Amino acid sequence: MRLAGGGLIDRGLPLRFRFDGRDIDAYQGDTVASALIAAGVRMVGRSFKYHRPRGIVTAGSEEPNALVTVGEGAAREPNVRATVQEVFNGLEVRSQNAWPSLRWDAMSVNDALAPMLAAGFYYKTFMWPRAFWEGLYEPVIRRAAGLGALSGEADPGRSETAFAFCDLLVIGGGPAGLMAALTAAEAGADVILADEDDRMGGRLLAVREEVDGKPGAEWAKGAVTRLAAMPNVRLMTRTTVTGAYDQGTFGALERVQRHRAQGLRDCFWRIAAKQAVLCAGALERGIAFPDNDRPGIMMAGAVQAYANRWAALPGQRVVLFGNNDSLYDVASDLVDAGADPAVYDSRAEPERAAEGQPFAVHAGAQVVGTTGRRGLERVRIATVRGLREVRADCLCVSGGWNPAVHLTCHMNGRPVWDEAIQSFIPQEDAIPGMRVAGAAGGVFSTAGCLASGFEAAKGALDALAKRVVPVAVPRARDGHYRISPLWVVEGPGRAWLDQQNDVTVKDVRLAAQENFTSVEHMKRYTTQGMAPDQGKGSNVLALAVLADATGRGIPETGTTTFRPPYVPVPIAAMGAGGRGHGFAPERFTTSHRASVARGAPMIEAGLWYRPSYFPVAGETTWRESCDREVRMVREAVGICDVSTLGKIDVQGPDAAAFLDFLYCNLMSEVGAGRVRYGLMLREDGFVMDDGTCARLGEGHYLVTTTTAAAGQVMRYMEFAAQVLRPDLNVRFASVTDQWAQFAVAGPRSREVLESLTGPVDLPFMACAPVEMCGVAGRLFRISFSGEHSYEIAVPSRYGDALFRLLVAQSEGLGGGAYGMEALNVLRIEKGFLTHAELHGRTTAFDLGLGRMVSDKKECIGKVMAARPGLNGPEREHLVGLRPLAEDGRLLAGAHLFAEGAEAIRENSAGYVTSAGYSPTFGHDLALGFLADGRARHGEVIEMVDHLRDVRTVCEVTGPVFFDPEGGRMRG
Amino acid sequence: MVRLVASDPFGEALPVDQAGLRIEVGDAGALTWISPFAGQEQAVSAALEATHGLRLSEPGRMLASGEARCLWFARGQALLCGPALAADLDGLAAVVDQSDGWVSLKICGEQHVDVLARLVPVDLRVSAFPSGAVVRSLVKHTGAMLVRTSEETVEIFVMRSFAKTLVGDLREASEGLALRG
Repeated sequence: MRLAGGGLIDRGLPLRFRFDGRDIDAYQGDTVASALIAAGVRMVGRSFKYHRPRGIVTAGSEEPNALVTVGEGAAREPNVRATVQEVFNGLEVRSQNAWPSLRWDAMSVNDALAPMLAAGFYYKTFMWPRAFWEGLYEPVIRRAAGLGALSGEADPGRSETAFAFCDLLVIGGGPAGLMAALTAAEAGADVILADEDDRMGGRLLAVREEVDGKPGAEWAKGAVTRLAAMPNVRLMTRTTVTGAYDQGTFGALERVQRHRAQGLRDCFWRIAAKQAVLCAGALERGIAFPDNDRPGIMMAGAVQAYANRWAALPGQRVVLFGNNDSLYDVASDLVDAGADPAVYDSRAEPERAAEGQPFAVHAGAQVVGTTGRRGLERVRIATVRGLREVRADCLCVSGGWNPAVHLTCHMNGRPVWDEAIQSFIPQEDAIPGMRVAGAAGGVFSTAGCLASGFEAAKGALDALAKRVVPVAVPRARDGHYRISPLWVVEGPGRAWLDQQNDVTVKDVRLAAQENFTSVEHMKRYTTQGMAPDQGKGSNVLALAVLADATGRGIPETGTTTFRPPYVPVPIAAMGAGGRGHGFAPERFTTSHRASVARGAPMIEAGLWYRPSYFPVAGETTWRESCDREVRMVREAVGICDVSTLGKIDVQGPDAAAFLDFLYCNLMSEVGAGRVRYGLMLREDGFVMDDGTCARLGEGHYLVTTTTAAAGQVMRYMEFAAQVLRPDLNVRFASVTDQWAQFAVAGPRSREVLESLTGPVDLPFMACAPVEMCGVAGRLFRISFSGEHSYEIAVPSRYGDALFRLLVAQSEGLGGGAYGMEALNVLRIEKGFLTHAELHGRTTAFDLGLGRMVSDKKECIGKVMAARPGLNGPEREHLVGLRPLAEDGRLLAGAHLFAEGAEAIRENSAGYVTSAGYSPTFGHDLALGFLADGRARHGEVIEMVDHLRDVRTVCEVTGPVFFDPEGGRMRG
Repeated sequence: MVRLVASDPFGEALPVDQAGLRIEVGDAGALTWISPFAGQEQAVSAALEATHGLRLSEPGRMLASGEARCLWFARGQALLCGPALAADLDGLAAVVDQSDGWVSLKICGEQHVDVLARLVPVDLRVSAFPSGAVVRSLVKHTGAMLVRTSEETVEIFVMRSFAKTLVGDLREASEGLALRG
C-alpha cells in the first residue's frame, strides 16, 4: 500500500513498469521492490531448491529472495536484486525459477519432497552408477535448482572500466561516512565518497531521527550539497566498493545508468586511495523460527525503510518480533504510517516498557510458526500466558544487527566477537590504511556514528599529514542498543537460515552430526552463504546454530571467510572494453591498406595483422593463390612485408661481447657490413628464438627476432644487461616500428631492386646502407625462401609508398606480392625454422644446429644445453617427411609411428610441426621431430592424424628439400 | 625519378572533436633516442646544452628549450623531440632515430583527464601530474609514454603500429564518457 503522503519519492514524476506482464505504477525514486510493495505484490519469486513462494525481505543489496530478471532479449539480465533496481518507464521485470507461472509452479513438488532433499542428499543419493553423475544427475539437478538464466546471446549492453585516485576513500554515505567525508574535505584532502544507493544518507533516509535539529534525510542532503560544492570531493552514488586489495587499491562497481532504459550499464572502478574509512553500516539479521520464509515476513528495519523512505507499507496488521531495542522505533513509525503494529519482544524484560507506547508490547514472547499459502496470513506466538495465534499480513523480524565487516576480511582479517552487541566487529587494522566508523564498527546510535566518522577522518588526516580543520559534530540521538541473544525458536516445521540457498536449521545440524563441524565445511556441505548474497543475512545465524550443535561458543566457531566481491560483479563490467577487437591491441604494418585493397585476408601474428595471400581474378581457394605465389617467387620475384619481425638496435663498446653472451654462436667475429644467423637459448639450454644479426658498424649491431618473440627477446636482453652482465657497456632500443622492411625474393629480385636503387652488388649475408628514391634505407642480402633475395628497410613513413612501388615493379617482371601462406611453404621447402619448430622444448642439437653453440665462449644456456639426455639418440631430431604416394597428405600435429606399429600413444615416435603442399615438388612436405631422426633418413614410417583420421606412409629425409647446396640463395 | 611519399600514421582517424574533448596529431618533430654510455651522462648533458639548450631530463620529467624538448624515456634513456640531433654524441651515447618508430597525439579539453582515467592506471590530474611530467604506462593494453604539455593537454606517445588502436581506444572511452551526459 502506498501511503498518502511523505517519503522521499517524487510524486510529481509517476512511472510505470511491468512485472510478469502486469503494469505496476511507481514514482521517481522507487526501487522495483518498493513499487511492488506499494502495489501490494507479496510473492516475487520461487526459492532455489524447494520452489517455495518468496517475498521481499530487505531493502538493500543484501536481499536474498527478490532476485528478478530485468530486460528482454539478448540484453536480459538475471538475478538482479529488486531492492537495488531503480524503476524507470518501460522497465520489464520477470520473476525467476517458476514454471509455468509464479503462482502455479510445477516444480513446487520439490517442497513436498523436502524430507528427502536435505543437505548432502546429492552426495548420498546419486553415487551409482558412477558415470551417471556427469551425464545425467548433475544436468537434471542443475535444471531443477537454480536462479535466472542468461539469454545465451551476446550481450549488447555497454559497460566500462576506469581508475580513480584519492587521499581518502570513504566507503558508505550514511551519517558516519558523510561526517568523515566532510571532516577530510574541509581539511583539504582529496576525497572520494562512494555509496551503493542512488542517494547518500544511509539509514538516515530510513529512520525518523533529527540531526542538528533537522530531519536526518534533510541534514544528509545538506551535507551532500556542501560536499558537492567542494572541488576536492568526488561523490560516487550507485557505487558499491566490492573489494579491498593490496596497497590501498579498492574495486568498486558503479551501476551507471541501470536506472534508465538505455545507456552505460556498469563501470568497474579501481580506486587507489592513500587512506580509507569504512562506513558500510550494519545488516539486520533474522531469527530462525518455523516457517519464517513466507512472503510478508521481512526485516524490521527494511519495513521501516519502505514506510519512511518510499511511503510503502507492506501490511496493515503488523507483528514485530525480535530480541533488541530497534523494534520499538519501527513500531512507532508504523503507527504514524497508519498501521496497526504489535511488538513481541523475546526478552523477559524489555528496556522500554509497554506503558506509554501507542502499540501493544508483549514481553517474553516468541513466534513459533506461521501459516499462509502464498503469503503470511497468521502468526503463532508463544507468550507467557500460553500459545496464541494472530492474524497478520506482515511480520517484522529483528534478530540483531551485523556490522558489515566484509571489506575488512578481504586481506585475511578475522572479525572479532562483541558480546555486547552479539555480533562480529572488524579486527583493527585488518586493511592497512583503512579505519572503520559507524555501524560497521558496531556503533549503533546516530550520535555515535557521527562522532566516530569524525574521529576516523581525523586519524586518516593525521596519516596524510594534513591539519584537521575543526568541524562541529552535529547533535543527534544517542542511546544504547541492547540485545539478548535469540537465534533459533524450536518447533515443528522448517526454520530457514539462508533463504537464497534454501538452507534450514536442520541442514546445519545435520552437517554437524555428519562431522562437518568446521564452519567452512558446513558452508560447503549445506551451501549456506553461497550465491549472490554470500550469506549477508544468514551467516551469523548459521554459525550460531553450528556453534550450538557442536557445543562451542560463537567466537570459537568463527565466520567463513568473506572474499571479494561484496556484491555480484558482472564479468561484462570487469572485462569491459575487451569484447571483439578490444581483446588485444592491434598492430598494423605500413602495407596494411595496400594489402587489404588487394583483397588479402589478414591473419593475426602476435598482435600484428599480416596478409594471408593475395587472391587474383579466377582464384577461388587460398591454395590456388598460395601455389601461384610460391611459383612466382621460385621463378620470378615476390614482395613480402617482413616489418613485423622484431628489430633491436644494439650499440656500445661492449655490444659485441654482450651479443656473444646472448647468442649461442659468435657475433663478435662478424665483420662490419655482414649478417649472421643466430640462435638464442634460454637459461635451461633450450632454444628461445632465432634470427639474423647484422653488424652495422664497429660497436653497432641490428638484432632481428621472430615476430612472436620480439617482446620476449627485448625483455630477455634487458634482464641480461641489468642483472646478468651489468658490467658491459651496452645500450639498445627497439626499432621494430621505425623501419618498414620488405623481402624482395626470387631470381629476378635484383632487377626489381636495381630499378629503384641503381646497381646493387651485395654478397650473400651482407648488409649496406642504400639510397632509394631519395630516401636513406638499409639493404640486407638474406633469404627466408632459399632464393636469391634481399630485405630492404626504409623509415616507416615511406613503407606504404615503397611497398606499392616494389609490388608494381615486380608485377612488371612476372612477380607480385606474396603472403604468409606462400612464405610458409617456401620456408618448409627450404627447411627453415619458425616457432612451430622452436616451440620451447627443442634444443640446438634437436634442430641439427648443435654445432652453432660456440665452444670459444660462454653464453646463456650453454652449460644447461650440455646436460646428459639433451644431446643423443634419445632425443627427437628435426627431420623432413615426404609421402610415398604423390597424393599422400601430411598434416601438422599428426604423430609418427614406426611402420606396422599400432598407432597408440605409447608407440608415438615423433610428431609433425609444419606441413603443406609444395607446388615446387608437386606433393606435400613436412617438417617434424622423430626419435633419433637423423640416423633414420631413408626409413619409411607412418604419419597418423587421429583428429582428422588421416594415415600416410612417408619417407624420412633431411629437413632441407629444396636446393640443399644453397646455390640459388648464394648465387 | 620516382619519389616515395610519406604517409601519416593516424590517417583520417584524427582529429577527433567532441564536446569538451579534442584529439589531434602531436607535433613531436624528429625523435632521437639517446642513452648515454656508462659514466657519460654529464658529458651528454653538456653537449645537449651547448647545441639544444637543454640537459638530459630527470626521471619522469620533460625539459623544453625553444622547439626542442628532452623527455625522460626510460631508465638511462631520453628522447630528444623537435629538431634533429645537432650534438655530436659519438662515443658518449647510443643514438637511434625514432622519428618513425614512435608517434604522438595530443588529447586536450576539460574532459581529457576523465577520458584517460578510463584507460590509464595513473593519476593524470594536474595536481598529481603537472605540466612537464612524463610517465611510462599503459593506455588500455598498449604500452605508452604520457607527457603533460599544459593544464589542458596530455601528449601520448606509442609505437607507430599501435596508432590506430590508440585512437580507437580513446574514442571508445570518450564515447562511454559522453553517454553519462
